[in-house]
Amino acid sequence: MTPDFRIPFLRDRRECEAVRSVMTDYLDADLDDRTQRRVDRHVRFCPRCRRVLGNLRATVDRLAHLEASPELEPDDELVERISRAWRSSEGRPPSSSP
Amino acid sequence: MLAVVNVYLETDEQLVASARVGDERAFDELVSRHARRTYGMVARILGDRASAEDVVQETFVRAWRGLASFRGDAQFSTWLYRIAVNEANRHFARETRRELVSYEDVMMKVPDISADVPARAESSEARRQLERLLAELPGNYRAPVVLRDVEGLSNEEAADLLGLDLRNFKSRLHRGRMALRKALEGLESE
Repeated sequence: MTPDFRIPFLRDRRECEAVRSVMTDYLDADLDDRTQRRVDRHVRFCPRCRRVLGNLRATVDRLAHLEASPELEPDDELVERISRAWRSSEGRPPSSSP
Repeated sequence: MLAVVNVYLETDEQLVASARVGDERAFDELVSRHARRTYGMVARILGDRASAEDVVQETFVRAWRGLASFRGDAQFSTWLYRIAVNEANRHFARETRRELVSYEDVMMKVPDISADVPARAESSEARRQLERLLAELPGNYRAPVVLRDVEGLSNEEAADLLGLDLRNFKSRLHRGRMALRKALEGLESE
Protein backbone atom coordinates (compact mmCIF):
# COMPACT_ATOMS: atom_id res chain seq x y z
CA MET A 1 0.00 0.00 0.00
CA THR A 2 1.41 3.30 -1.02
CA PRO A 3 1.84 5.62 1.93
CA ASP A 4 -0.18 8.78 1.66
CA PHE A 5 2.44 11.51 1.62
CA ARG A 6 1.00 14.94 1.91
CA ILE A 7 3.36 17.82 2.01
CA PRO A 8 2.05 20.14 4.67
CA PHE A 9 1.93 23.76 3.64
CA LEU A 10 3.18 26.07 6.35
CA ARG A 11 1.67 29.41 5.65
CA ASP A 12 4.27 32.15 5.61
CA ARG A 13 2.32 35.38 5.99
CA ARG A 14 5.23 37.46 4.85
CA GLU A 15 5.52 35.41 1.70
CA CYS A 16 1.79 35.76 1.11
CA GLU A 17 2.06 39.53 1.51
CA ALA A 18 5.08 39.67 -0.78
CA VAL A 19 3.32 37.66 -3.47
CA ARG A 20 0.11 39.67 -3.22
CA SER A 21 2.05 42.91 -3.54
CA VAL A 22 3.19 41.89 -7.03
CA MET A 23 -0.04 40.34 -8.25
CA THR A 24 -0.86 43.31 -10.46
CA ASP A 25 2.51 43.07 -12.15
CA TYR A 26 2.00 39.31 -12.45
CA LEU A 27 -1.32 39.77 -14.23
CA ASP A 28 0.24 42.37 -16.51
CA ALA A 29 3.15 40.00 -17.29
CA ASP A 30 5.46 42.66 -15.96
CA LEU A 31 7.65 40.58 -13.66
CA ASP A 32 11.13 39.27 -14.16
CA ASP A 33 11.29 35.52 -14.70
CA ARG A 34 12.53 34.74 -11.21
CA THR A 35 9.73 36.64 -9.47
CA GLN A 36 7.13 35.18 -11.81
CA ARG A 37 8.29 31.67 -10.95
CA ARG A 38 8.13 32.59 -7.27
CA VAL A 39 4.48 33.64 -7.65
CA ASP A 40 3.68 30.52 -9.68
CA ARG A 41 5.18 28.28 -7.00
CA HIS A 42 3.45 30.08 -4.15
CA VAL A 43 -0.06 30.05 -5.60
CA ARG A 44 0.33 26.39 -6.46
CA PHE A 45 0.52 25.57 -2.77
CA CYS A 46 -1.28 28.45 -1.08
CA PRO A 47 -5.05 28.11 -1.63
CA ARG A 48 -5.83 31.51 -0.18
CA CYS A 49 -3.42 33.38 -2.44
CA ARG A 50 -4.54 31.27 -5.38
CA ARG A 51 -8.08 32.42 -4.71
CA VAL A 52 -6.99 36.04 -4.29
CA LEU A 53 -5.17 35.92 -7.62
CA GLY A 54 -8.13 34.32 -9.35
CA ASN A 55 -10.48 36.93 -7.93
CA LEU A 56 -8.13 39.74 -8.91
CA ARG A 57 -7.97 38.42 -12.46
CA ALA A 58 -11.76 38.19 -12.54
CA THR A 59 -12.06 41.77 -11.26
CA VAL A 60 -9.79 43.09 -14.00
CA ASP A 61 -11.72 41.09 -16.61
CA ARG A 62 -15.01 42.59 -15.44
CA LEU A 63 -13.57 46.09 -15.59
CA ALA A 64 -12.50 45.50 -19.18
CA HIS A 65 -16.15 44.87 -20.08
CA LEU A 66 -17.30 48.16 -18.60
CA GLU A 67 -16.02 50.47 -21.31
CA ALA A 68 -19.03 50.08 -23.53
CA SER A 69 -21.42 50.01 -20.59
CA PRO A 70 -24.78 51.59 -21.36
CA GLU A 71 -25.06 52.57 -17.70
CA LEU A 72 -22.77 55.54 -18.35
CA GLU A 73 -24.27 56.73 -21.61
CA PRO A 74 -24.88 60.47 -21.55
CA ASP A 75 -28.21 61.84 -22.72
CA ASP A 76 -28.71 62.66 -26.40
CA GLU A 77 -28.34 66.39 -25.91
CA LEU A 78 -24.83 66.20 -24.48
CA VAL A 79 -23.17 66.73 -27.85
CA GLU A 80 -25.39 69.76 -28.53
CA ARG A 81 -24.59 71.31 -25.17
CA ILE A 82 -20.88 70.79 -25.71
CA SER A 83 -21.15 72.41 -29.14
CA ARG A 84 -22.89 75.44 -27.66
CA ALA A 85 -20.24 75.68 -24.95
CA TRP A 86 -17.21 75.78 -27.23
CA ARG A 87 -18.89 78.00 -29.83
CA SER A 88 -19.76 80.58 -27.19
CA SER A 89 -16.35 80.45 -25.55
CA GLU A 90 -13.86 83.22 -26.06
CA GLY A 91 -10.81 82.49 -28.12
CA ARG A 92 -10.38 80.68 -31.36
CA PRO A 93 -7.54 78.63 -32.77
CA PRO A 94 -4.74 81.16 -33.36
CA SER A 95 -4.38 80.12 -36.98
CA SER A 96 -8.00 80.95 -37.84
CA SER A 97 -8.80 84.11 -39.78
CA PRO A 98 -10.90 86.78 -37.99
CA MET B 1 -18.14 76.76 -56.71
CA LEU B 2 -17.27 75.51 -53.26
CA ALA B 3 -16.42 71.86 -52.88
CA VAL B 4 -18.66 70.15 -50.36
CA VAL B 5 -16.56 68.26 -47.88
CA ASN B 6 -18.18 65.35 -46.12
CA VAL B 7 -16.72 65.61 -42.65
CA TYR B 8 -18.00 62.16 -41.78
CA LEU B 9 -15.48 60.62 -44.12
CA GLU B 10 -12.48 62.54 -42.86
CA THR B 11 -9.95 61.19 -40.40
CA ASP B 12 -9.39 62.88 -37.05
CA GLU B 13 -6.13 64.30 -38.38
CA GLN B 14 -7.89 65.87 -41.35
CA LEU B 15 -10.61 67.29 -39.12
CA VAL B 16 -8.02 68.78 -36.76
CA ALA B 17 -6.23 70.42 -39.67
CA SER B 18 -9.53 71.95 -40.84
CA ALA B 19 -10.57 73.01 -37.37
CA ARG B 20 -7.22 74.75 -36.82
CA VAL B 21 -8.08 77.23 -39.55
CA GLY B 22 -11.51 77.85 -38.09
CA ASP B 23 -13.68 75.16 -39.66
CA GLU B 24 -16.32 74.79 -36.97
CA ARG B 25 -18.08 71.92 -38.72
CA ALA B 26 -14.88 69.94 -38.50
CA PHE B 27 -14.63 70.53 -34.76
CA ASP B 28 -18.31 69.65 -34.37
CA GLU B 29 -17.56 66.31 -35.98
CA LEU B 30 -14.65 65.74 -33.57
CA VAL B 31 -17.01 66.47 -30.69
CA SER B 32 -19.57 64.01 -32.05
CA ARG B 33 -16.94 61.31 -32.36
CA HIS B 34 -15.33 61.68 -28.97
CA ALA B 35 -17.86 63.20 -26.57
CA ARG B 36 -19.51 60.01 -25.36
CA ARG B 37 -16.39 58.06 -24.65
CA THR B 38 -14.74 61.07 -23.02
CA TYR B 39 -17.85 61.50 -20.88
CA GLY B 40 -17.76 57.86 -19.79
CA MET B 41 -14.11 58.05 -18.80
CA VAL B 42 -14.52 61.32 -16.90
CA ALA B 43 -17.67 60.11 -15.14
CA ARG B 44 -15.83 57.04 -13.89
CA ILE B 45 -12.77 58.99 -12.81
CA LEU B 46 -14.89 61.49 -10.89
CA GLY B 47 -17.42 58.93 -9.68
CA ASP B 48 -20.00 61.60 -10.41
CA ARG B 49 -22.08 61.91 -13.59
CA ALA B 50 -23.34 65.42 -12.87
CA SER B 51 -19.86 66.86 -12.62
CA ALA B 52 -18.68 64.84 -15.60
CA GLU B 53 -20.69 66.91 -18.06
CA ASP B 54 -19.19 70.17 -16.79
CA VAL B 55 -15.73 68.71 -17.05
CA VAL B 56 -16.34 67.36 -20.55
CA GLN B 57 -17.71 70.70 -21.74
CA GLU B 58 -14.63 72.46 -20.39
CA THR B 59 -12.45 69.81 -22.01
CA PHE B 60 -13.76 70.56 -25.47
CA VAL B 61 -13.61 74.32 -24.89
CA ARG B 62 -9.93 73.96 -23.99
CA ALA B 63 -9.36 71.66 -26.93
CA TRP B 64 -10.89 74.20 -29.32
CA ARG B 65 -8.77 77.01 -27.90
CA GLY B 66 -5.64 74.89 -27.79
CA LEU B 67 -5.76 73.31 -31.23
CA ALA B 68 -2.75 75.27 -32.38
CA SER B 69 -0.67 73.60 -29.67
CA PHE B 70 -1.61 70.09 -30.81
CA ARG B 71 1.48 68.95 -32.65
CA GLY B 72 -0.01 65.77 -34.09
CA ASP B 73 2.67 63.54 -32.60
CA ALA B 74 -0.04 61.61 -30.76
CA GLN B 75 -3.56 60.69 -31.66
CA PHE B 76 -6.16 63.41 -31.20
CA SER B 77 -8.03 61.17 -28.76
CA THR B 78 -4.90 60.81 -26.60
CA TRP B 79 -4.41 64.58 -26.56
CA LEU B 80 -8.08 65.07 -25.73
CA TYR B 81 -7.87 62.52 -22.91
CA ARG B 82 -4.93 64.41 -21.44
CA ILE B 83 -7.00 67.59 -21.34
CA ALA B 84 -9.94 65.67 -19.86
CA VAL B 85 -7.83 64.07 -17.13
CA ASN B 86 -6.29 67.45 -16.24
CA GLU B 87 -9.76 69.00 -16.04
CA ALA B 88 -11.01 66.10 -13.95
CA ASN B 89 -8.07 66.51 -11.58
CA ARG B 90 -8.77 70.23 -11.30
CA HIS B 91 -12.40 69.50 -10.53
CA PHE B 92 -11.46 66.80 -8.06
CA ALA B 93 -9.02 69.09 -6.26
CA ARG B 94 -11.82 71.59 -5.69
CA GLU B 95 -13.98 68.97 -3.99
CA THR B 96 -13.85 68.13 -0.30
CA ARG B 97 -10.76 66.06 0.29
CA ARG B 98 -11.60 62.41 0.72
CA GLU B 99 -9.84 60.15 3.14
CA LEU B 100 -7.74 57.44 1.65
CA VAL B 101 -8.93 53.97 2.56
CA SER B 102 -6.14 52.17 4.36
CA TYR B 103 -4.83 49.14 2.60
CA GLU B 104 -6.13 46.04 4.39
CA ASP B 105 -5.09 42.48 4.18
CA VAL B 106 -7.33 39.82 2.71
CA MET B 107 -10.08 38.62 5.00
CA MET B 108 -9.96 35.13 6.43
CA LYS B 109 -12.81 33.99 4.29
CA VAL B 110 -12.20 34.65 0.61
CA PRO B 111 -15.17 33.80 -1.59
CA ASP B 112 -14.57 32.90 -5.17
CA ILE B 113 -15.77 35.61 -7.52
CA SER B 114 -14.00 34.23 -10.56
CA ALA B 115 -16.90 32.01 -11.57
CA ASP B 116 -19.34 33.09 -14.29
CA VAL B 117 -17.31 36.09 -15.40
CA PRO B 118 -18.86 36.23 -18.88
CA ALA B 119 -22.37 36.04 -17.42
CA ARG B 120 -21.53 38.69 -14.86
CA ALA B 121 -20.08 40.91 -17.54
CA GLU B 122 -23.37 40.90 -19.43
CA SER B 123 -25.68 41.37 -16.47
CA SER B 124 -26.70 45.02 -16.23
CA GLU B 125 -27.18 44.68 -12.48
CA ALA B 126 -23.65 43.35 -12.11
CA ARG B 127 -22.35 46.23 -14.23
CA ARG B 128 -24.19 48.78 -12.11
CA GLN B 129 -22.79 47.13 -9.02
CA LEU B 130 -19.26 47.36 -10.37
CA GLU B 131 -19.76 50.98 -11.46
CA ARG B 132 -20.95 51.83 -7.96
CA LEU B 133 -17.96 50.14 -6.33
CA LEU B 134 -15.63 51.87 -8.77
CA ALA B 135 -17.18 55.23 -7.89
CA GLU B 136 -16.60 54.50 -4.20
CA LEU B 137 -12.86 53.99 -4.63
CA PRO B 138 -10.65 56.84 -3.43
CA GLY B 139 -9.85 59.12 -6.36
CA ASN B 140 -6.12 58.38 -6.20
CA TYR B 141 -6.86 54.72 -6.85
CA ARG B 142 -9.86 55.13 -9.11
CA ALA B 143 -8.24 57.10 -11.94
CA PRO B 144 -5.46 54.52 -12.55
CA VAL B 145 -8.02 51.70 -12.60
CA VAL B 146 -10.30 53.59 -15.01
CA LEU B 147 -7.53 54.48 -17.43
CA ARG B 148 -5.75 51.12 -17.33
CA ASP B 149 -8.48 48.55 -16.90
CA VAL B 150 -11.60 50.24 -18.31
CA GLU B 151 -10.12 52.46 -21.02
CA GLY B 152 -7.36 49.97 -21.89
CA LEU B 153 -4.42 52.36 -21.88
CA SER B 154 -0.98 50.95 -21.24
CA ASN B 155 0.66 51.55 -17.86
CA GLU B 156 3.00 54.07 -19.46
CA GLU B 157 0.21 55.97 -21.26
CA ALA B 158 -1.99 56.09 -18.18
CA ALA B 159 0.86 57.14 -15.89
CA ASP B 160 1.79 59.90 -18.32
CA LEU B 161 -1.80 61.18 -18.46
CA LEU B 162 -1.95 61.33 -14.68
CA GLY B 163 1.46 62.93 -14.36
CA LEU B 164 2.77 60.05 -12.25
CA ASP B 165 6.02 58.15 -12.46
CA LEU B 166 5.49 54.56 -13.45
CA ARG B 167 6.26 53.09 -10.04
CA ASN B 168 3.80 55.36 -8.27
CA PHE B 169 1.16 54.67 -10.89
CA LYS B 170 1.52 50.87 -10.61
CA SER B 171 1.32 51.08 -6.84
CA ARG B 172 -1.96 53.01 -7.01
CA LEU B 173 -3.29 50.71 -9.72
CA HIS B 174 -2.55 47.68 -7.55
CA ARG B 175 -4.23 49.19 -4.51
CA GLY B 176 -7.26 50.16 -6.56
CA ARG B 177 -7.61 46.69 -8.07
CA MET B 178 -7.19 44.96 -4.71
CA ALA B 179 -9.70 47.28 -3.06
CA LEU B 180 -12.25 46.52 -5.79
CA ARG B 181 -11.56 42.82 -5.53
CA LYS B 182 -12.15 42.93 -1.80
CA ALA B 183 -15.35 44.93 -2.23
CA LEU B 184 -16.66 42.39 -4.74
CA GLU B 185 -15.77 39.54 -2.41
CA GLY B 186 -17.64 41.35 0.34
CA LEU B 187 -20.77 41.49 -1.80
CA GLU B 188 -20.42 37.81 -2.59
CA SER B 189 -20.26 37.01 1.13
CA GLU B 190 -23.57 38.72 1.87
